[in-house]
Amino acid sequence: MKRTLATIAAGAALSACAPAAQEPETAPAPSPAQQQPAAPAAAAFPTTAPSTSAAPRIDLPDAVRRTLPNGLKVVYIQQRELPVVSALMLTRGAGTGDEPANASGLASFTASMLDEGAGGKNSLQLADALDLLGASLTTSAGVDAAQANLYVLKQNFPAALRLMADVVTRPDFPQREVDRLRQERLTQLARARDEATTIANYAFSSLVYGEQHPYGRYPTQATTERLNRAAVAAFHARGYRPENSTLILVGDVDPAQMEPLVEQAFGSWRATGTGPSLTATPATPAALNRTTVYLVDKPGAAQSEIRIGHPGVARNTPDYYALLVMNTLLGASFTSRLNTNLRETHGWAYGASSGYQMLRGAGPFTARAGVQTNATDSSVVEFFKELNRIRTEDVTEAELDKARRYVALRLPDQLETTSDIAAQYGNLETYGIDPSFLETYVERTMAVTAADLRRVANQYVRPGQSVVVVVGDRSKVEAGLRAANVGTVVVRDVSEFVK
Amino acid sequence: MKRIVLLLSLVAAPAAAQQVSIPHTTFTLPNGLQVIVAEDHSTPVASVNVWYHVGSGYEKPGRTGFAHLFEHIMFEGSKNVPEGDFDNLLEAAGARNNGSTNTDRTNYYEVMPSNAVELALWLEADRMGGLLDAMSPSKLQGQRGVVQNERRQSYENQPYGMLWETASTLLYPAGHPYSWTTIGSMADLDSARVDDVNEFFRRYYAPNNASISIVGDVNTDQVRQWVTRYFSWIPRNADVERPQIALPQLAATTYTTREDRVTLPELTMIWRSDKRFSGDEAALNTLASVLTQGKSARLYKRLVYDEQIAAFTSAWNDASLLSGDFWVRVRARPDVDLDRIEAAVNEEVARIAQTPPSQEELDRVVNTMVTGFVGALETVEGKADRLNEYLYYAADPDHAEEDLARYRALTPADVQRAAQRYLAGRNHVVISFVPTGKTALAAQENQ
Repeated sequence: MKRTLATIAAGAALSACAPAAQEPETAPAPSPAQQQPAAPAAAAFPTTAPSTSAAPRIDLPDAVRRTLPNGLKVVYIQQRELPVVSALMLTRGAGTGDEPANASGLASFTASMLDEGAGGKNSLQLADALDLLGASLTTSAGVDAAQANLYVLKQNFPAALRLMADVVTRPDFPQREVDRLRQERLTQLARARDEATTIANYAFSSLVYGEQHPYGRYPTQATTERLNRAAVAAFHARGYRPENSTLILVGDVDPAQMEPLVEQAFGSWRATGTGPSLTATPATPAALNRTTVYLVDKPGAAQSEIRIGHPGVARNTPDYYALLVMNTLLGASFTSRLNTNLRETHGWAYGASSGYQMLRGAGPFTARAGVQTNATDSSVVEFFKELNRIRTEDVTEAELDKARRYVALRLPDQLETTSDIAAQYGNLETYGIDPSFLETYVERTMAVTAADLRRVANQYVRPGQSVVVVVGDRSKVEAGLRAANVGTVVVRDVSEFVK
Repeated sequence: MKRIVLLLSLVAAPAAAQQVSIPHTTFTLPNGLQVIVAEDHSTPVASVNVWYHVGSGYEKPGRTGFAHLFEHIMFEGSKNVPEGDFDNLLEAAGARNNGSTNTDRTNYYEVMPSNAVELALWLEADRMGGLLDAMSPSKLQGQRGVVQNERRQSYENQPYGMLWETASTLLYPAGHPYSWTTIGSMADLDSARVDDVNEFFRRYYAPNNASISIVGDVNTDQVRQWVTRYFSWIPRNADVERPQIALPQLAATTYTTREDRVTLPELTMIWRSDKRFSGDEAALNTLASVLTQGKSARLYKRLVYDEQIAAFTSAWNDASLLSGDFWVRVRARPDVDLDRIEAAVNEEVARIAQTPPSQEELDRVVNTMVTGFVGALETVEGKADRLNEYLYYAADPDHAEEDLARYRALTPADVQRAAQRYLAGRNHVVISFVPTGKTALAAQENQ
């Protein structure tokens, strides 16, 4: 591959997107490099790039919204070109951010347990029934919501939806499967310490937020061993509630045809007791007053995994568009400054990137790369150069325009498949963002100015208050890191983070 | 939105009864460039996808990794496109782009709002016709460093990352073009010279050794005009002969052990199978799924679910232009002896060779496959790549229906026969990856 850019999800999806978004009349003018003088002679190969015509508009059908008597919201989005259905059941209050502090891993364990026996079928019977329908059903927990994703040909949708309903609303949590999955989790953890990227990610989040914070804790052997049937059942009973859930159906889904199926499948879903708070947001840790470099020794590593950052910003920030454009220019596209510097100019990395994980609370800002061992210190220095430069130097109009257009014009690509559309609507639902957001997305992205960009860079990029994690061969990189002098160097052990 | 579509029947019918086609138009320029256009107006996006019919299987010993290194250089500018502008222009148009290399071919693609198709075609034409006009030693040097870091990231610094290189050298005799990986060796990457780049380009990067598919919200006549205008001036080259290499059967079953910085031991078993779109490919692919896809799949159920001695199982049939390999890969739980895993795999393979799988096992696999097949065609990118793939491997871009028909026609006996013909009792390669110092866990000959 030419490149792999690790993308850091901003509130799960790349950027929220708009159906019915239209290119503004101000349809982005061709950038100077694209301008073309007169029409060239028919046979000659033109020496300048053809200009692009006005960007197309997207016409998505309206979403039809319904609410069942039990509070379950249902969104139907009809796309009739193919007889397929993507169904997304999104449940707020059942994510990793909703776990009890001493139960890291419980949300994802509960999600994994959903299809291990439900509605009278055991684990294997459920799997066989889905496979026979050619359906794929996956269950998972994000930070702010749990998800069940179904993808199936329309003709098999009614049967698959019933299985999905069993899985989400009537799981059995058989003891045997709890024991088996717990053992699988312990095996995964044992393996996690083999991977430099996992070590770096765990170390970074815990050092930025602290191990008590929902964004800083992660599963350990101790929390995994504590997972049990009672905890899973209680987490399910409390978190998986119709009034906290939204079912998004995209594809060949005529609401008139589908409503009876949905009511039959989910109408009897009832929750008991009280549910989790959906409004509380985790506190943002106090800003650090200096930058510290944490070196985690991985003897023999062929590269150093670098993470640099600090708490970022919540999804509901009014600076959303400015941040999207700023971060695109800094580290979220192939031509971004970080990738250009570390990869194209220096050749030290296969790719370098940055991103904001925008959550209900302020998720992390992270800049990252895997770099060749002998360029570890130089790479950290170049990271800091770029993090400082975006705060202190005005961007050029061409750079700004490219980033704005890249963010705005990829909209159709992000709404291409039924699953794409379901994910975008799910993201809006998770963060309570008004659907009108979608209609103004392109316009608001294109309205970001150089001044906006510099303002948000100063507010949300803080190189002097950062955590730097380097996972690499200490014997080869420590001296250089100390000499680079970007912050105090502290040596830590893998076992402090993967434990 | 995207939609390809296809004449999937809307009545409730077994998945196996559905018809799939990708309506398209083809034409060939006088210089040999084969062009495929498929209109799909469901979303205002389009993909341009160029396949050069060259991959690492065309490299020479001592110059491995070259097709892939070359792939990187293709993004670094050409006659009318200054370095950096290939990506700058596309990003400013809201496009993403990338490329990939395997043993048989290299592809380059863009996915974009449909108003940027002409720009993408112009960029592809400029590098097909004018790459060497802008070639320089510094471009080679820069991308050499990037590729070496790609290798470190994806191979050296990745647990079990050296499996692929180990397998290639064991499966194919020295000098065979599949006996090295597409990423190449560090030493060969170090010794690549600008002359090699130039020679490689002149030999393989010609319109008559390429095909291009344009899929999405486009007008076929308009696309034909653009393609004709931008690509017609590029001269054709001498035809490239596809390698035809007689491949001896594996002479024996061999055991190889590698120590790695890993916690879990892992066993990989690989058999020689059959070429892409050859007679037994569909049965082999299905056999792989019967073994490891889904909770009731035989190896998964036995090793992960019931006995709980494995962390995961996977099996796949990797079919290429010159040959195919059938892989079974099982990652064990800590300290599990790989002899035990190997014995289980051999038993399950023998069981299928003796008794065909049930019709229901087959239906589960095929129905899941059909959904995945349709899903892969939901994007213009997937559809464009599929058209080029069919053209290259099956000499017919309109091969979707035939492709699916192979699976529809499969019987349990076909799967049984594939297990007999290629796996049960056949020579194969056994590779153990074990934690450093724990070589006693490795699978051993004559256990």
